[in-house]
Amino acid sequence: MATRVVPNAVTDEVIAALERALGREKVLTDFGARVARTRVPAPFPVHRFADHMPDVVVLPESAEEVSAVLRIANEYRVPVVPRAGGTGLADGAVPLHKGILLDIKKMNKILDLDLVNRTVTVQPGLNMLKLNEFLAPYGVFYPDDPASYPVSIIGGRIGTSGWSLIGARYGHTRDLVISLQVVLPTGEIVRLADGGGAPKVRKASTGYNLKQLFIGTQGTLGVVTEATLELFPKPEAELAAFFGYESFEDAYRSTGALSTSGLGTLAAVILFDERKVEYLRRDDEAYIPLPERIKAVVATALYGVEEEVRAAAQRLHRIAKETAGEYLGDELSAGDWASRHDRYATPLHGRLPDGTVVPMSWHCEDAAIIYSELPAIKQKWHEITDRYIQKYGIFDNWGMFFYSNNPYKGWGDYLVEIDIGIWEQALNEETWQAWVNLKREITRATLEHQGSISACHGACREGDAEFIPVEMSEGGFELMKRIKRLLDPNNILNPSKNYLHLAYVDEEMGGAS
Amino acid sequence: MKTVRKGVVLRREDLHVFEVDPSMMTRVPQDVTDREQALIVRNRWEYLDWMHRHFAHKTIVLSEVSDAPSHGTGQVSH
Repeated sequence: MATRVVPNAVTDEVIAALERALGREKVLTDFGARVARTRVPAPFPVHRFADHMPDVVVLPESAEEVSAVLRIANEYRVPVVPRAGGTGLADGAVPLHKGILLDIKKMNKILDLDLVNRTVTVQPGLNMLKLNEFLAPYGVFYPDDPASYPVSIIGGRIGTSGWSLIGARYGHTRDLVISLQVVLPTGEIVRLADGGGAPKVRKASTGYNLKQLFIGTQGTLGVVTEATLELFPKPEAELAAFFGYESFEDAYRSTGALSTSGLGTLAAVILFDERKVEYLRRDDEAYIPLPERIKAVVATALYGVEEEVRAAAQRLHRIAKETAGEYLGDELSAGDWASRHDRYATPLHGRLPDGTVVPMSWHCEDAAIIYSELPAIKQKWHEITDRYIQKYGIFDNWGMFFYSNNPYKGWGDYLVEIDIGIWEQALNEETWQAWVNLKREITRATLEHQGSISACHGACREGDAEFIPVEMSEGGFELMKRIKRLLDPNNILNPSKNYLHLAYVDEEMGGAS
Repeated sequence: MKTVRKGVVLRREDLHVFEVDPSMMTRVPQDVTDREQALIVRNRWEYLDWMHRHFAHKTIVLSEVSDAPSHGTGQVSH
C-alpha cells in the first residue's frame, strides 16, 4: 500500500466496484470522457497533459451515490477529485494524482422553491443562469454573478467561495448559501447551516457555524450534494455608468469616493488601470475609439427599485464629476456592463512583442488587497510581469482590474487581478517553470502588501499553494492540516490540493500532531 | 477598410466593426464574410439586450436621469 501522501492508483477492481455501486452507465473510462475533464481554462502545462488525466469519471445523481463512491475510494485508498463546471481559474478541479473524477453535473435538480421564506433548494450541478430562468416567472432571482455566469455551476461556486460581480449589493456565494448537505470524505452525509441545523435559518447561535467551513475548500473536505440558497426580488432597474480619467491617481481617488458613497443600490465599483485601458484600446471594439488622454476607467453599477436607482445615479454622477471623471456614454456603459456577466464568451488572442496575433489562454492572477495598497501592488505586479515578457516573449500583459470585493458595501478590500495571456502552444518545461516563477513573485508581493493570495479563484496552483502556509503562519495552516486529517484520514479527497499533503507528511514523519 | 490607429482598421463603417490590422494576423488568418460579420454584430447586440433583461426588468442610462451626455468620450455615433 502507498503512503497517504501519494494515494493508490485506480485498478480494474476499483472500476468494477464503482460499476456495481452506480451502474455501468455512470462510470466512464473512455479517453474522451477523461481528457475533457483533465484541465480547466487556466493556463496548463500542455506538454504534461497525461500527468493530470483522471483514470475514471463517475457521474452520480444523489448524495447516496456520492457516498458510495467515497466509501469505495477509502476502501482502496484512491483519490477522488470533485468537478463542477470546470470553469475555475485556479485548478481546484485538476487532478494532481489522477484517480476518480467525480463530475456533479447530473445532480442538477431543483428540489424545493419556498416563496414565502424566499429560499430555493437545489442540487449542486445546476447552473445559475438556468436557475434564474426557472425563477423569473416568480419575480425572484439568485444574484450570484461571476464572469462565467452562463457556464459555471453552483457546486463549483461553493467549492471556490466565489466572488460575484454584483456582490457589493447582494453578497457573494458564501453570503448567499443558507445551508448545505455535504458528503464527508469517509462517506457520511451531514446537513450544515449557520449554527444549528435548521436548513432555512440564515442566522443562528446554536452550535458551531460549520456551513462556512465547507465553503471554499476546493473539494478537499467534502462534496456538497444539496444547497439552500437566498432569493432576492428581481431588480426593477439597473444602471451602469462608466467614467474616464486622465490619470490612474484620479481614478483611484474616485474609486474610493464612489465606494464609500453609502448608496444602498451600489452593486459594483471597478477600477481599470492604464495598462488595462491600453489593452482594451488595442483589442476591444468598445474601447478602440477612446482618446489617448483617457488613461484609466471606473465602472459602476446600480440595481434595485427604479426610484432608488434613478436618485442614486444622480449622486453617482456628481461624485464622479467632482473627482475628475467624465462619462464615457450610454452605449459603452450599458453594453460593456452586459458583457461582464459573460467574459468566457470572449475569444482569446494575444500579441507577441512585435504585435503579431497568436492564440493565447487567459491567466487571471487574483488577490485580495486593501485599498491603501492598490497603487503599490499595481506597480510591483506590472514590473514583475513585464520582466518575464521581455525575457520569454510568450506572455502578454492585459492590464489590471480592481473590483469591490466585500458583501453589501463597496469599500474594504479589492479583488485585484492582472490578466496575462499565455501562448500555450509554445510552452515547454523551461517556459512553464518561468511562468510558475512569475506567479511566485506576484504572490510574494501580495503578502508583502498585507494581502491574501486569492480573492475568489483559490490558491491551489503551483506558484500560489506553497505560500498558503506562509500566509497562514500564525497557526491557521496547522489547524487546517488537523481538520483535513480528522475528516479525511486516508487522504482520498482532492489530495495534495491547497498544499495539504503536508498534513500527512508531518504525521508519517512523526512530526506535527 | 481604413486605419484607425496603429494596428487597428475599421472594416465596416456602417457596423463600426474594428479589426486587427490583417498584416498582424498572419499566424491566425481569419476569413469572415460581410454577411457573417453582420450576423455576428446583430447577434451580439441581441445577446447583450437579453442579458440586461435577465438581470433586471428595465435598463436605465445615465443620460436619462442626469446632465450626462448620451454620447460620451470617444463613443462612435450611429
